[in-house]
Amino acid sequence: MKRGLTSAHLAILAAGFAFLYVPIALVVLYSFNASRLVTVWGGFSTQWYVSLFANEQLLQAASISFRVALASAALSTVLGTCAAFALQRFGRFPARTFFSGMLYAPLVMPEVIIGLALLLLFVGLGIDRGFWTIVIGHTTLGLCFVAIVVQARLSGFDRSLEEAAQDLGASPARTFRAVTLPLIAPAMAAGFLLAFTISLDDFVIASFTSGPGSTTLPMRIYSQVRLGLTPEINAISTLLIGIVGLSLLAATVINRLKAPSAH
Amino acid sequence: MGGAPLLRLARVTKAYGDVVAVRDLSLDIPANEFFALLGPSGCGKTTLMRLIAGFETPDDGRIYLDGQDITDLPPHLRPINMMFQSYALFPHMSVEQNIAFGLKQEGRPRQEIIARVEDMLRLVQMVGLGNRRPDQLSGGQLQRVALARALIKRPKLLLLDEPLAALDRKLRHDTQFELMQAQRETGTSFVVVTHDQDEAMVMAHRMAVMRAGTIDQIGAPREVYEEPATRHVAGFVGETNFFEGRVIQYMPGGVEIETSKGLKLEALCRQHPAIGAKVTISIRPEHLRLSAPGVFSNNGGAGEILDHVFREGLSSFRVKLDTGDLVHVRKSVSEGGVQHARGERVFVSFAPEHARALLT
Amino acid sequence: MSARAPLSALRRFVLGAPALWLLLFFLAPFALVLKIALSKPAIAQPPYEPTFSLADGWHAFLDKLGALSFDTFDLVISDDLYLSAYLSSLRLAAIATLLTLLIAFPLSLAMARAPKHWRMALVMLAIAPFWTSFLIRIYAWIMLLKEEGLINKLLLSLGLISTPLSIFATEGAVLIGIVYSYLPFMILPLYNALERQDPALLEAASDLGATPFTSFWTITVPLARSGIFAGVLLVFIPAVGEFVIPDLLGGSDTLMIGRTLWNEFFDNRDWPTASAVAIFLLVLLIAPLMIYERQQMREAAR
Repeated sequence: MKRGLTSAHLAILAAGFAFLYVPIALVVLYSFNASRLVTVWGGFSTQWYVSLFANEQLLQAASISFRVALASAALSTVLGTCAAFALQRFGRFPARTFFSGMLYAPLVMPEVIIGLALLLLFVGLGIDRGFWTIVIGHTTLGLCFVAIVVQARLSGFDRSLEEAAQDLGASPARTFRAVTLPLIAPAMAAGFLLAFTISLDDFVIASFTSGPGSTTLPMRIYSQVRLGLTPEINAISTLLIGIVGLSLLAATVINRLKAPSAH
Repeated sequence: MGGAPLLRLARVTKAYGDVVAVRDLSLDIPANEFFALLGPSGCGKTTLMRLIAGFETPDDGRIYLDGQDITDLPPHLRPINMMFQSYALFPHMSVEQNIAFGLKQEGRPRQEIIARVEDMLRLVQMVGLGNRRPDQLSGGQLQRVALARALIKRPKLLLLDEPLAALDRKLRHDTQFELMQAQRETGTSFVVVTHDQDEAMVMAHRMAVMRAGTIDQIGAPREVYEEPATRHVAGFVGETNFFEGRVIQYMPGGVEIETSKGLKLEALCRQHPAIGAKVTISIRPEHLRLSAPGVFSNNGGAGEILDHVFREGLSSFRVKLDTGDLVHVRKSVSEGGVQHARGERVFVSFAPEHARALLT
Repeated sequence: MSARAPLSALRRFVLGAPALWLLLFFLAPFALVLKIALSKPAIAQPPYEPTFSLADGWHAFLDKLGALSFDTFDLVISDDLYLSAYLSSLRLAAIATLLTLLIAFPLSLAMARAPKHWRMALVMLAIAPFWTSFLIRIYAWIMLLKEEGLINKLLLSLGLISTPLSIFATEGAVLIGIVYSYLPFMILPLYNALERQDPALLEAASDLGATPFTSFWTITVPLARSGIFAGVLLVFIPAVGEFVIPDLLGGSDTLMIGRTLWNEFFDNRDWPTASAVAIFLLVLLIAPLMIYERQQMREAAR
């Protein structure tokens, strides 16, 4: 039996990844389309990128989206890491099943339900909707994702490393700082990136939890898409893809660099 | 080695739920000794080691180091260090940083740390490799770094968790001597925890054989080998042959038993069992004689050779006695006259002073 | 492991912070959804009554309690529109999940069989689309599927069809959208389960006389059970309540409950009905949700 890939396997891989990437590639390609009609190629042009930067609304929305993403990703990372530690290290504490149930549920629940529920909460409590309510909504979703990523790292974690540190004289606090934290940092960073992307990308929850003056980028894009396709949307999509792609690349490169460095 | 022991365990007990891992155990270990805790998996030796290191606290009993009660002291405050079975080297630090870690926790000045790390690298023959990372080292090198990391703090006691388990045979052999040398040079008491009786016998000054949470016997390797206190010790430390029977009469220094198949055998006995008491005789393979039928007829049984294996200068025979007992006989080639073939009829016997009758 | 006091102050914070957050911003809201489902719509701000407030006395509270009714629930259960929306959502989600599984399985298998040093890169490649905007990816399909879209252009120019296909604004488009968006969620658990399988198992089967076909169905697939399970749940449950995909790719006759909920809430400003719709959706999903939770527990125990 041959181990490794047969030509059938390669064909499947090629087809599969083509299916995944061709639509995205086309979005990028047609952002350089000179013609206004999105699906008619009229030559190469970067005019839509130029007009993008004159589009106040889109820029405003982008700024809000980025700030929301930054804030919610930061909160998500802290809370999600705490949750991961609680589940992985605290043994069988009371209401553990209940806690982990609450933690996993937002991952699968349809976003319309979560969004609706959050909005009703804010209205019921008399909280004005705006920037921070979106942050709250995104954090609630993001913290679950971070918890999963960090928990995966913790479950494979060699506890004897921490014991060795303590054995050599490091107090539990110093052990955490000198041994545990550096070793889970990549997972926390990956979790942050994940939460950031989810927030940047989210439309449904933002729609429910935003207020006047806090329209996010996906909300803007959505309302424009409903009106019809414009190449400007292609342009901003390409930019977003570029940003995410670059940060993913940066993350991978940083991880590679960390391995053989001295300090 | 007079005076107060370095490490004293007083009636220590530790249970996990229903399972009692260590039961009412007391042990003294003096300074400057290479000590082995030997036993099969599940006997509690690992739990005992973790109790000494401080990663577990006993349910009952106290632990003293140099006269001081350390039972409630957390691991990072005990002057005891451990070499982990998996080495547990910090993957994100270099060899030098790993070794220096313990001294950094003590707050030593930088110059002192650099100097002592250099000394350590020399001691474990890792000079020039200080900048490497754990994932760039071989198994033997990893172990030496782990040893250096633990020894640099000059602990009063060093615990070694199955130190040779991950090494291949040749390396194991060399490492045994390196460890013994390190112990002599530093004067630290080493406590090796292992299931490999060979390791314990070679390296230790004294060893404790454990079973089910308690210690069956403590003594020098030779003493434990030649005068086992229990069946468990006789069977676990080195190879042996067992004959079970009931005491039929007393002999000078020992007893004579009769097995269920009618063999009458004599052996030395440290205790004084009653006539008719159930007793097991332990006789080591190297003490069994093989003779042609008719030459001897005492203290043994007739049988047939099943197979013969030659290994490292020793001839091993498996003999099936007419009574059905299977015995293992070992002779060194230099003893001569060991040409016996498969199927050959022989008489297996032994001198009573080489055998031991055990009650438990 | 080590004998430390179970709930020191630090531990209480580490557990308490996320727990409190989730209680407040995830669990508590659902209680509110239930309460509002029992209210009546009103032309007011907020658009429902009764509204409870801390200023109420006990009597006022009881009065308002009496004003709660199950009217909305009656409506949701009895009205054909909602019923068809629920059924259609379940149907579309199920079909989409099946399609996703059929596409993801061979892909994950090929990824798991790839040489070791390729695998990480392949996994990254499979996950990367997930990191790009969801909205963008749906938008791409609008570009592709419209009558004047790229797929029709291609097929027309190749002469394979004479009139453009109307895939856009049909259930078919919605299915494509769901499959495309949720594919990474199916690939990841499948890949993890398949990658763990010892290749020697198939070699042993072959040695004992099994054809590749038999080996696949009797060994590979059953051993990947947990991955299939996880993937199916990860796709099906959220797909049932999808809003964006049916809204952008579906037609006016494509009924999905997520869209219905949205319309009730934003267009009709009928918060109580929207809440009742949400409650029923939740009830529908309770069973798969419980199964999902149990799966997670079992995985964690391993």
